[in-house]
Amino acid sequence: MFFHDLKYMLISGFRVKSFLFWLMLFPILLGTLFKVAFGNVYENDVLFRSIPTAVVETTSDPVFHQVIDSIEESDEPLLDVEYTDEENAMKLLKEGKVSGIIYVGDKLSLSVTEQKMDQVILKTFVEQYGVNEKIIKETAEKDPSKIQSVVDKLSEDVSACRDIPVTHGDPDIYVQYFYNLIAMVAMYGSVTGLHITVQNQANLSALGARKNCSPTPKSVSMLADLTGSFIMQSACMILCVTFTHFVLKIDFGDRLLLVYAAAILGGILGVSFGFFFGAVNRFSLEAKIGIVMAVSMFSCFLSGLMMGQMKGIIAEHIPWLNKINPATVVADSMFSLNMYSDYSRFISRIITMLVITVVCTAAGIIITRRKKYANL
Amino acid sequence: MQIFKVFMKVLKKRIRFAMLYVGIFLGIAIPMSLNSSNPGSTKEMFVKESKSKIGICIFDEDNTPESREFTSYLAEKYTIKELKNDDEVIMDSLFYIAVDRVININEGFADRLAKGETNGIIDSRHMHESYNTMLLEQDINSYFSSVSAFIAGGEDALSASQSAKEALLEDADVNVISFTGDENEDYPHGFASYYRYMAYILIAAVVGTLCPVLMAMNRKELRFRTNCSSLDSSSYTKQVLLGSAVFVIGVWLVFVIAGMILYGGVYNGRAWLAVLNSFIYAMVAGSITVFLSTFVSNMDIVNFINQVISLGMSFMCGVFVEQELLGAGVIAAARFMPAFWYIKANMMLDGTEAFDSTKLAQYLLIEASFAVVMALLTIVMSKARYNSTALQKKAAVAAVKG
Repeated sequence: MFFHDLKYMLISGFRVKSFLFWLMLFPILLGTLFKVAFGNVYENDVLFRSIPTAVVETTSDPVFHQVIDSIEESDEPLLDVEYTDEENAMKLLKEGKVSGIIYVGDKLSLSVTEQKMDQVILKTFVEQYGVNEKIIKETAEKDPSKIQSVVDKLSEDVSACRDIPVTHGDPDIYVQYFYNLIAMVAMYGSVTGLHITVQNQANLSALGARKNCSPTPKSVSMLADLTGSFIMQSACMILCVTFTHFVLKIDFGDRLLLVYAAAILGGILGVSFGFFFGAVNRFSLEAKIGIVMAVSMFSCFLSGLMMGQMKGIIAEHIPWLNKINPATVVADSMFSLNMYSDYSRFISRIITMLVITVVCTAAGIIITRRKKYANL
Repeated sequence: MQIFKVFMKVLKKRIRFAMLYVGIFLGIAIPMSLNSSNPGSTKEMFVKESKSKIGICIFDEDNTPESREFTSYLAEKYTIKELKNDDEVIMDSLFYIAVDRVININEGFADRLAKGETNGIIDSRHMHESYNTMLLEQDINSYFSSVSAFIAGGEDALSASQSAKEALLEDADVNVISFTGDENEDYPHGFASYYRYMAYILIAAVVGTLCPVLMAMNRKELRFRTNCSSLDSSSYTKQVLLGSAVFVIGVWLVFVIAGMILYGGVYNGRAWLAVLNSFIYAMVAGSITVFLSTFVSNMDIVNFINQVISLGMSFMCGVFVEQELLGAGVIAAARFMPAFWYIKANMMLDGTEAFDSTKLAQYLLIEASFAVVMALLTIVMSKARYNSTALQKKAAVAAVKG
C-alpha cells in the first residue's frame, strides 16, 4: 500500500501546474535573469581597474612626471594617464572617457564631473601629492639639514599593510544570488509539505476526508506522502543546481556533489517546515499557503535574495540569526563550500538543517496522528 | 454602461492584489527615498561618498596614543565598524562588503613606528580587489609615508602621527563640472530611483490584477451571452477598455501621488516630464495586459507571463541594475523592450545623460509606439478569436466533443 500511495502521490504531484511553475520554471527564469543582469557587474563595478585620467600641464613639473611614471610601472597601476591639452581633456571628460582632469601648475588641482569612488581616489592622490610638497617645504623652513632624509623617506615605496589571505574561493559577491535562488526553491518546498497535511486533514480537503475513512493506516499514507514530497522536492533541487551550474555556468567550487547534497537536504527541510506548519494550526488552506509563503519569502529576504548585502548586515548586528534562519542556512552551506577549505562550517550548517528537518517532521507527525473528526 | 459596471464588480474582487503590490512597493520606496538626502557642498559630498561606501573594522591590540591617532585618522574619512573578533563574522562581513578591510594593529606598533619601520606595520584582511580596498591601501600607505617623513624630520612618533593626520586631512582644490545642465535639481538622482523602480511595479501590478479581470470578461459563457445580446461589439470593447483605463490610471495616480509625498510637495520642472514618462509606460503596461488577455485563459500561465515580463524587462533594461553595468548583448536585446526606453528617458531627466529635448521626445515616442503596436495586435487577436464565426466554430467543436 505504501508504494501504491507513493506512486499516485508522485503522479498527481508532477501534474500540478503551479508546482511545475514555481519550483521548476520560475527558478530557471529567475536564475537566467540573475545571470543576465549580474553576469558582468562584479568585473565592471566592484573590481578595481586603473582610473583613466587626463593630465593638463600648465607648467612643467618633472617630479610629478616621475611620480606618474612610477605609478604606471607598477603591476596594478592606480592611474591610466593621458597627457593632453585642456580642450581635449574637457572633451574626454564630457564623453566619460576619463574620470577626472589633473591640472599641474603651482599647485595640483582636479576637475571631475561626479563624486564617485574613482573621483575620491583621484582627490586622495592629489591631496597626498600636495602633502609631500608641504612636508618638504616645512622641513626646509625648520631644519634644512634634514631635507635629504625626509625626501628619501617620501620617495620610499611604503607597503604598510601585511595582507593576510582570507579565502581561496571565488569572491564574486553576485554568486550569492544563486545560492539564495537555490535556498528559495528549497523554501518553496514548504508549500509542497503543506499540501501533505491538507490532503490528510478531513476538514480541509475532500481527499483528506476520503483518506480518513479509508482502511489504509494513516501512518502509511502519511509516510508515502512525505516520501513522495521529498522525492519531488529533491528533483526540483537537482534541476535547479544542474541548471545554474551547467547551463548558467555558475562556479560552485570543486565540491559539486556536496552542493547537490546540501541543496537536496535544504529541499527536504523546506518540505518538513511546510508539513509542520500545516499540521500545527487550523487555518484555511489559503491562509496556510499565504502565511507559509510569507514566512519563506521573509526567510529568503534575510538571507539576501532581494538585497545582496542583507546577510552581511545581519552578520554584523545579529550574527546568531544567520545560524538559524532556514534560507540562510541552506545558502550558507554552499557559500562555506566555496569560501572555506575545511568542512567545519559546512558540517555545522548541515547539522542545523538536519535538526530543523527532524524536529519539524517529528512535530508534524505527532500533531497529525490520531486526529479524529466528530463531524465535517 | 452595463459592461463597465460588471467589469468594476470583477475588478473589486481582485483589487486586493493590486493593493498588495502597491503596499510592498511603497514600503520599499519610502525608506529608499528618505535615504537620498541633500548632498551638500563638494567637500561634504566627497566625504559622504567615502564614509558611506567604505567600512573598516580595526582591532587595536597595541592601544597606544600612536595607534589611536592612526585609528582616529581613518575614522575621519571612513566608517569604523565594530565586529566580533570571530572568523565567520569577519568572513561574512568582508564577503558582503559590510566592511572593506579588517585591520589588526598588533602589539609593538608604536615601537616599530618610532623606529621608522612602516612596511607591514599592520595586518590587513580584505576579500575583493575593489576600488574601496585600493583607496584604503593607498591612503594607509600615504599616512605611514608621511609619518615616517615627519619622524625623519626630527619629530617623535606621536607628534609625527598628529602632523601627518593634520596634513592629510587638508582638502585638495577640486572643481566639479556639470555637462548635463543644472536643472536636474528638480529631479534629483535619489528621487529618480523611485520612478526607475516604477517600471517594474507598474507592469507587475497591472498585469497581475487586470489580466484575470479581462480573462473573466472573456470567459466563453460570458462572451457567448454578450455576443447574442443587443449590445453591439464596439460598445462592449469601449466599455471594457474604459474600465481597464480607469484601473491603469488609478494605479498610476496612486504611485504619482505617493511620489509627490516623497518628493516633498508638487513636482517641479523635469519631475513633470518623469510623470509624463511614467504615464506613457502605464499605458504600455495596460496595452500589454489587454493583449495578453486575448489569448491567455489560465491563471498559472498569467502568473508565469507576468513574472517573465516584469522581472525580465527589469533585469534586462536597467531597472534593478544600472544600464551601464549590463553587457553589450543584453543592452542590444533590451532595445526591443519598452522598459529600456523608459529607463533611458529617466536617466536623461536625472542628469545621468546630457539633457536633449529632441532625444527625450524620441525615447517617449518609441515607448508610446509599443503601446500602439500592442493595441493593433489586440485588435487582430480579438477579431480572430471573438468574432461570431470564430465563436460559432468553437461552439461547434465543443458540441462535437459533447
